[in-house]
Parts: sequence; structure tokens; C-alpha cells
Amino acid sequence: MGRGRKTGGSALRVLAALPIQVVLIVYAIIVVYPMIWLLSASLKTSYELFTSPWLPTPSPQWQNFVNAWQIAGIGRYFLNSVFVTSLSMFFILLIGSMAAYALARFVFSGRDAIHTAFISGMMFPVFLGIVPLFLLLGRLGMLDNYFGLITVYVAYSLSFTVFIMTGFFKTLPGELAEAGLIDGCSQFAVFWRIMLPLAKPGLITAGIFNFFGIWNEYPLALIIITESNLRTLPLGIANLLMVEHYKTNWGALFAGLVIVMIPTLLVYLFFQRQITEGLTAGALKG
Amino acid sequence: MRRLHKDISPILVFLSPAIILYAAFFIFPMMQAFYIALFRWRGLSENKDFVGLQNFRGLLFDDPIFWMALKHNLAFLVVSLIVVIPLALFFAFVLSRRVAGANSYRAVYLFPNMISVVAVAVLWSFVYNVNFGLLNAFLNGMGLEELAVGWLGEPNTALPAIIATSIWYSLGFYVVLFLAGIQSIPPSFYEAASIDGASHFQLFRHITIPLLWEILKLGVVYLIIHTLNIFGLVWVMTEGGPSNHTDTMLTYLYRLAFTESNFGYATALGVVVFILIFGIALISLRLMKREVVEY
Repeated sequence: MGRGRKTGGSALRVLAALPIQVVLIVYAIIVVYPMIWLLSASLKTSYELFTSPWLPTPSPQWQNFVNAWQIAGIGRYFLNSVFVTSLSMFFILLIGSMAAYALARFVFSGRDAIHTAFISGMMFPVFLGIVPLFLLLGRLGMLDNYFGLITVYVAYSLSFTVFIMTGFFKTLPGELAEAGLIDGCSQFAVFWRIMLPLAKPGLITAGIFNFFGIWNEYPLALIIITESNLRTLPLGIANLLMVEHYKTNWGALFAGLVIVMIPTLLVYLFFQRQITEGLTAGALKG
Repeated sequence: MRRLHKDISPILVFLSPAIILYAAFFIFPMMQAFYIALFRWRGLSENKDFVGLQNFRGLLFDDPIFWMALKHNLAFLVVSLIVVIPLALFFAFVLSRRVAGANSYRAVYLFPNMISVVAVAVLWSFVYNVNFGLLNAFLNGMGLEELAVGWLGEPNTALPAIIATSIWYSLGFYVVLFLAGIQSIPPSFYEAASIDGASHFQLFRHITIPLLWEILKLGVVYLIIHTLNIFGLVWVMTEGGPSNHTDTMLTYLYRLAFTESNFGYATALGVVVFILIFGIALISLRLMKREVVEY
């Protein structure tokens, strides 16, 4: 192994780093290879899938993607997920940052208790309250519709969002809000026009993690949605796996899985820095 | 500037939507669970009988499936502790030492953790498929045909196959967590030790580990929470089968509640899972107690 930066030439260091690079590359291959295999399989016929699992196909079946989107219903599930995720995120960020703003900026009795109640929600596993939640939603007519699903997503995401946003609003100078009030803005206008735009980095962090949380969410959707037309992507793709066992149109299922992973990949590549920072920020400060 | 506000109406406007939603759809069901767990309650009827702690007694003393499921959760936990924590520590340490391509490796390793567990489960169901799966194709290519089996259909291989998938899914998260912890250690510590002739292993052993200890504890707590809460991966890959050989506490809970409508009993299981997570986390924090190194 190389002895730090002072000794040895660079050639020696490269040589010393070689075993480490091999290990790193091997694990990178373990991570990436199943996805490359998936991509290549998504362009094969079912016959090729069974006969030549290794080689890329000579005649790519783009039809698999059309079949996945149209016949297997991935297109509908995709749009359902876009609808549910964007509406949920809008309400989570709005309602969550309003609450966080009040908790960060105003001093009132009961403030600490409310703050603690929000933060401690992160300790409760989803499944603890799942039966009471299911019964409650049933009584309110909120099963099997997006009103119920989105309401639950918002309620379940508030802990985390209030946690992130309160921390963020606390770093903003209160003088700005005071100045806005003196200029005759209402409290809400101060929040909406002055403070919220300043909190944009916080909104981005909270937004990214809520995006992944909701776009990928499975158990809550599983208990709330049973109507097949309302399925979100995770529900749809899980269902397809079970159904396709009998239909053996594997190409379309592989293609469907590729379609599912594309938005995740794009958001991931685009927000790489915020994701890595956000994942650990809470942990390191705590 | 932070004075006590006399006029609380704007505060109410800002806070009430969040409080109402959170109280009604989060806090209330969570609290109600502790109450419903005390009833025998089947189906959507209003007939529920108060049975006290009988559901808990049934689970702990009279339910082999619960114990099987718990054992499977503990298998996830123990294997992850043995594999994920050391491997993540190793990768994090290496990536923190100015290795070529460090940022790309970190990005690649973290990616599986960003995909939906359902997509991960479906992808790996394909990898393990008996006919066209990547794993069997690999084994056949190596001339190990006799090892190629239907991984998720065999009682002996199904659980290890899912545990391997969960490691593939989660490892990157711990690499990023530990890497951030290591990067917050002042570089001067390493430089001073290097000048004194410390080897990489000595740096790791005497600087990284003690200064990372709090983050390491956090990683272990996350691991406990994740492995005792495992559901989606198992549900999509096997639904707990073949014949309960991959059941976890939550796949069992899901079946109890939503296919058998055994609400009281299922909720009691939810309470048990909650208590187990808390208990095991507290015990492991106690075991990992060390004097905090301030720097």
C-alpha cells in the first residue's frame, strides 16, 4: 500500500492502488450488471430470453416497450404515479413548510411540544398504525381513491418535512420578515413572497426525499388502492409480475421495469449532490 | 426579535392544516393501535371482544409462524450486521482516501437504494428465475449446472436469496453515511499520524473507528429499523413462501390483517414489532457504549 503523499513516485502509488481499484470495480459491476442485463433482456423476444441470456439481441424488439406501455398498462400506472406524486408533494411542501415556518419563527406556548410531536413521528414504523388507519379510511370513504391515498401520503410525510424545513427556516434572518411586516405585508404574504423563496434549498432537499418516498411507496398504496385503474407504478409492476407468470410475455415485463427505473435514474443523476448531502445532513448534525 | 406573540391567529393559520392532518391520519391510528391490540376482532363487523393481553400471549406462546417470522427478521439483521457494516466501512474508508473515481463509485453504489423496493424485487426475481435468470446462466456458464436451482422456490435458498437482494439494495446507503462521517474528521489527524509512520490499517483502527463511533452506532440503529421492518422485498418476491420459509413479521401481519381480517391480532403483532425495534435498538446502543471522543 502507498505510504501517504510524501513518499514514492506516482507510478508506485498507482500500482499500490490497483488491488483496491479491483475490489471497487468488482462491487460496481455487481451493482450495475443486473441493470445492464435487464436493459438487454428488455429488447429480446421471450424465445431469445430463454436461449441466449448472455448475448445482446441482434434484432432489438422495441415493440416490447410499446406493449409494456399500452397492453401491460405501464403507461396508465406511470401517469397515475405522476399525478399522485406531484399532488402529494405540492401539499406536503406547502403544509409542511407553513407549519415549520410557524414553529421556527414564532414563540408561543406549546411550541416545543408541537415540534417534538412532529419530529418523534419519524420513530413510528408505518405498520404500527396500518390496521387502525385502514379502518379509519374505510369509515370515511377514503379507500380506493386518490383523495385517501394523497391525504395519507401528506400526513405520513409531515414529520420528516417539518424536521427539515424547521431547521432551514431557523437559519433565515428574522429581520427580513420584520421588514416585510413594516412595509405592510400580511403574515401570509411575508411567508409566501419573502421567506419561502429564501428557503428554496430546504424545499429542494425535502422535495427530493419526498419524491423518492412517494414515487417508490408500496405498502400504503397496497392497502388503500384495490381498483386496477388506480394502481400506482409500484402496485402495477408488482401485479404484473404475478400476472405475467401465467402469460409469459416476459419482454414486456422487462421493458416495463426499465420504464419504471428511468425517472428514478434521471432525478438521481440531476440531484446527485443534494441527495448525498441530504442523506447524511440530519445524521451528522444529530 | 423572537418575542412572545400575543396575536396567535397567524400561527393558527400556519399550523392548523399540518396539525389536523398529522393528528387524524398519523398520530391517531398509531395510538389507537395500542388499544385495538387488546381486542379479538375479526372482519369488518363492530363485534369486538376485549381480551386484554391475550393476543400478545397467543403470539408469544402459541404461534409458530410468528416465531418463524421473527427468526427470519433476525437472520436479515444478523447477516446485515456481519456483511453490510464491515463492507460499508471498508468502502467508505477507501473512498475517503483520494482513490481515483471515488465520487463515481459512491454514486453507483448508492443508486440501488434510490429505486423502488418493488422494482428491486422484480429485477431480482428475474435474476433468480429458474429458466432465464442471470444467476443460473452464470452458473451454467461456469459449468456448475447442478447448483442452478429455482432460487426463490426452494425452502433452503429462498431466504438467503432475498437477504442477498436486501444487501445489494441497502449497502450504498451505509457507504454514504459512513463516508460523510469520515469526511468530517479533520484531515490533520490523518496527516499527523502518517508522518509518524502509521499504516493505512493503523489509521483506520486508531483514528477512523473511534472518531466515527457515533455514526457507526447510528448505522447499526438504522440497520435494526430496516431489517425488522422488511416487507416489500419479501412480499413481491415470494409473499412469504414457500410455505412460510421467507415470512417476516410484517408479511405475516399483512396477511393476518388484509387476507384474514384478523384485525386485533394483527395489530398486536404491529405493537410487538414496534417494541422489538425499540428494545433491540436500546440494547445495541448500550452494548456499543464508549466514551465519546471530542474533537
